[in-house]
Amino acid sequence: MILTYNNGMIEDPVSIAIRAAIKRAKRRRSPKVTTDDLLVGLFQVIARFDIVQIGPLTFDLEELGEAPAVALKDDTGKTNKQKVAYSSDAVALFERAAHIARKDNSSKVELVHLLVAFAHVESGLMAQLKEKYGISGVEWRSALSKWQPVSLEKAEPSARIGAGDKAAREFKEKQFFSPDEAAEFLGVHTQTIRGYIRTGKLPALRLAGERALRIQREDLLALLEPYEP
Amino acid sequence: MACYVAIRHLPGITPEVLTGAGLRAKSCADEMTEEGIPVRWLRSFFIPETEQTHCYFEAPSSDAVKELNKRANIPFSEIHEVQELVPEAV
Repeated sequence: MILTYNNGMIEDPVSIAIRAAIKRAKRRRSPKVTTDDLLVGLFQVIARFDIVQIGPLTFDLEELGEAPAVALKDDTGKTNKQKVAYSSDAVALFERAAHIARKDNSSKVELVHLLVAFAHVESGLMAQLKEKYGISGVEWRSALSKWQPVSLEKAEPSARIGAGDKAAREFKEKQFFSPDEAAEFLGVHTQTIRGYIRTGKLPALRLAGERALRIQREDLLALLEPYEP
Repeated sequence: MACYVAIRHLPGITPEVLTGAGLRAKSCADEMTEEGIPVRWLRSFFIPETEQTHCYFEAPSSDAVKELNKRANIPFSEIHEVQELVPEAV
């Protein structure tokens, strides 16, 4: 995630992504900003640790041969004054994104709308991604339909911290955990907990006459051992 | 800084085209400002009856406005300097 300041204002992610696309075109010494530039610009904004995660899809920016960080000024520190104009493909992509935003009842074009607009792109980097990772246009849109950009999660820290605090407080006082709660407590998947119970690694109790399982706090803590490298 | 209007005749234009053009204009204005040519897109008016769009820019010259529109890939027919008049000033 990159944040940048423009005249003291934090720029919105869409502006940052588009500017990153222009920078990429300049780095390529190309007179045109292409759809590839736009896709990489979008990826650079949503990437964390150079990894782009969209639902079940994961891309490595390094693997794609892309600069991990966006330098809004070029390497020399001086502003690159090369003139770059949008290609007609890029113009069409913007219009498609605006159309998608409208159908999504959004007054603004968001990152997700620009990304969805790539579903029908069958050339350049997007075509390579589709082939390499075996993604269809439908899968691309489906992954994006469930996607929450990192920036949105960060936008509501109070709600998230509040929820976490509540869970932490509840766990503090808890003596018996359901498999789901035990999984959350240890930060593992429920299936992992159930696996431990099945193999006898984790003792569990059954509520008399019920199917429901309960795990004691001590038994969960006993699973943890010091790490010796 | 002077104010300019770019007049475009865009028959059959859709809101999507206008939005896309706006995004491109904004990014190109930011980029040119960083390059040392302070251009700002102020606002645009679309006149449905004549299918004309009037886009207002603050810029050091009409060439800067022309350059911005070329980079943003938005067609225009004319660019003129304009005199701004607001109710508070009269």
